[in-house]
Amino acid sequence: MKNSLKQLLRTPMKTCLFFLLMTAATALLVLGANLWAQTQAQMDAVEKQFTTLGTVEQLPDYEAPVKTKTLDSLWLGAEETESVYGTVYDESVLDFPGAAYVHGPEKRTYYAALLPEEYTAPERQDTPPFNGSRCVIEFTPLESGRADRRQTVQVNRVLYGTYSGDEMKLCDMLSENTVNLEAGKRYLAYATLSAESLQSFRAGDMFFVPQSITGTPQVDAEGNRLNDGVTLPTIMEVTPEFYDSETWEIVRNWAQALYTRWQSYPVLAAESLDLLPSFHENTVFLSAGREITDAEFADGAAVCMVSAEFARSAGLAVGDRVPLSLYLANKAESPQWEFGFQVQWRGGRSPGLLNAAGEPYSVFFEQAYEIVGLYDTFRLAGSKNGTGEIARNMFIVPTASVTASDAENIGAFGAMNRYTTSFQIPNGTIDEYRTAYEQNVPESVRTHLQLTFDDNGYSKVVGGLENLRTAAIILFAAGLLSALAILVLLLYFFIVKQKKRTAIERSLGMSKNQCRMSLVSGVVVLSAVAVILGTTASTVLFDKVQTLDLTGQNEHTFSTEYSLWARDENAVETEDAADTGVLEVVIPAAMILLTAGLSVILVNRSLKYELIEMLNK
Amino acid sequence: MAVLAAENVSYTYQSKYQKVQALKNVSCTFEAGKFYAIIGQSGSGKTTLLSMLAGLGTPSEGEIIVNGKTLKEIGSERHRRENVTVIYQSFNLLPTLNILENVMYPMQISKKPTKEAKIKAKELLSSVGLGDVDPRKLPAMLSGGQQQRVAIARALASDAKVILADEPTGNLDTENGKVVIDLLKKLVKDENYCVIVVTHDLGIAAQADVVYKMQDGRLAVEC
Repeated sequence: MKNSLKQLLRTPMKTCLFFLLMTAATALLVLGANLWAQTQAQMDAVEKQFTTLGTVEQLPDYEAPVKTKTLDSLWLGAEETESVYGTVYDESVLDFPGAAYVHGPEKRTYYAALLPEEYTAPERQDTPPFNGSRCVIEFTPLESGRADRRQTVQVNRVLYGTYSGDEMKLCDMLSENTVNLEAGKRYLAYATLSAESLQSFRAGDMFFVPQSITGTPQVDAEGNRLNDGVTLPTIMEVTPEFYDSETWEIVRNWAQALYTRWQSYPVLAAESLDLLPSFHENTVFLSAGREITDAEFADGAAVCMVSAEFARSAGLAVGDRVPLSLYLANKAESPQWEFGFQVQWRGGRSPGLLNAAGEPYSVFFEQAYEIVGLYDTFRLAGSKNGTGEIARNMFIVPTASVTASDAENIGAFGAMNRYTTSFQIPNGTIDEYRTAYEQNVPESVRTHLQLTFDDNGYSKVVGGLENLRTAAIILFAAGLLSALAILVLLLYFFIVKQKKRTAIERSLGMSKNQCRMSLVSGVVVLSAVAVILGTTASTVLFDKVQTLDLTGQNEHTFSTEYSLWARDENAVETEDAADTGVLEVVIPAAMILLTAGLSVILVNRSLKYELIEMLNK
Repeated sequence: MAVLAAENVSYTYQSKYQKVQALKNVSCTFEAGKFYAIIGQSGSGKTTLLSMLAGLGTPSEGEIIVNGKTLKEIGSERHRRENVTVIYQSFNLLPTLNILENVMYPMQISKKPTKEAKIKAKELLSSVGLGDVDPRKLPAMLSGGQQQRVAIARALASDAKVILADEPTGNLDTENGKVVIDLLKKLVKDENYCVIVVTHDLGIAAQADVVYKMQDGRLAVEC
């Protein structure tokens, strides 16, 4: 080997040139490969981290004015309207040819559920389950007069609510045709606390406003109404016969249903967490335990996730089992619409308080669910979808875990909206999906549907990474080609053109193996040193390149240091960075082996020549 | 006893386009302490015969006998390393090694210790009249005659006692040619070498103890 190296170094210019070229080519090759591998790993990580969510909103045919006055309309001075739909489409309209889904369209149902009292005791709640703002009362006017004028009444009996005063100010300001109240007579009303204006409300000048007991109609699984619902007058006179009437039964059931609803918790059934816009946007994140797995969603496992806030107040932890008794299904709105998000205000707008028979719904499914994870929320204003489908103190369970039919307990049914209906498609396929949608879904349907896609910036990030990957591939290809070209020239000059040397050495009695060693060892050592130096240079260069933000994806307007969701992404990047180290071993080793292998092959060819011919040339 | 012999040796060059029988049933013997010349016209097969004797090629037919054993028994590599050494018209020195290293090379192949090889190489260079030449010089820096003397020194560096020289003075002027031949003759006389020289030069042939004349691949005459 010593002689071999010595002979190489006796042609210093040529050797130095090849050494430097080999070093540069290796640096280029390893840098390109590292960048390529890292970019690919980042793209794979992005592929795993990012999801593309589509949400569906059915647009109403038109908006119709609401006939009955409400406090909102009085306060805001605007006429309230309600959306009117001709045909309510279900999610199956999105099952069209060419629609490739990761998770097909899902219109989510949420349930109102009862929990054992040990978890819902008032002292455990952040805000008491009862307040004095709503009540069902029997009262007696102190003076006769029109009910739409504010007057003081004596409270005889509280059927629902925590109102504890003997007297109450009352004003029937919402009724078109109010009644005359007679002093000494007994009346009944469902009333809510209000004021004439926001200023009055803030000044504490408040009074109760009777409201119509209006129950939404029960519907069947297809959304057909079973009755027209219940509507009672705002103020009803209580006579001895009244307690035998059907109206009294309805009022009692109404009060009981209100009480039950105050005790209820929302349970959202889903087929995947990826389908929930809040999880998709990372405005909701796992704070303890784990997420429900795909297998658990598919198998309908009795597992759930619950809000960390509720778990704290109820004394629950990951691993605990909580019995949930589901009694009402809502297929119209997101649970937040009824149960609120930050403030607990359920009750007033609860749909489906009474069934078609005018009775409260009864439990149709009971099961103990194991808490596998707790979630928390970023309460960010201005997020695209906010936390629209996340309600306060909500449970999330697999749809398939609710094994009993809810067909007899559907209190509301409505059109798809962005908080209830979503689907997941493969990343980067929004345009293909839209094209297939426009080709395969009739225009008459499409005009009623509004699809919104959110890939969380996937296309921007991937676009940047693809550009980087292309540059890395070009760098890698240039490095590979130049390394091969240099290797070929190196072998030509230092092996192929050394046929005569081999012949002389053989004529001096060298064995074939000694001849191989004589030529190959020097070339391999030269290229090995060049390759190692080139690899080291590329490692330094790679570290420099890594500090550059070539894709712009690291631009943050806020620190993510303390963000749980950002920590996961960082973890992936760390793993990827470790992986690129393999290339820094594999590529140089492959280059050295290739050099050695080709050298041996070429020397073997030289050894085949007849010594007579070579030596006499 | 013959240290080297050819017994009915034939050899055919086989190129892409033709076959040329360069040696036809040649038999000859060579003894220690004698100076041999092989003469003949170009293409008569003298260099081929030398190559066969040197173990640089394998006869198509016949045997090369070395000290009573066939070349097949001994093995060509070992034969080249231990029994014979060759001096070429074109010197065939390794151009990237200096002259000292060139002379040391056969000894290194035989795994002789470097220090010992170096001392012997210097002695050999002196013995061929290159004692005053800087041993770090590369062959290309020397004249043709000096290069051939380096080649002789390299030949002497091996333990072989048979020197095969192919037109050793072919590239040299008369004066240098004489020096080289004198060196070879001295080896025969003083150290009992067997020297076999292929030459066109009848003057050199005239100094040989035995002359073989080749013609059309056959040994025509032994003088």
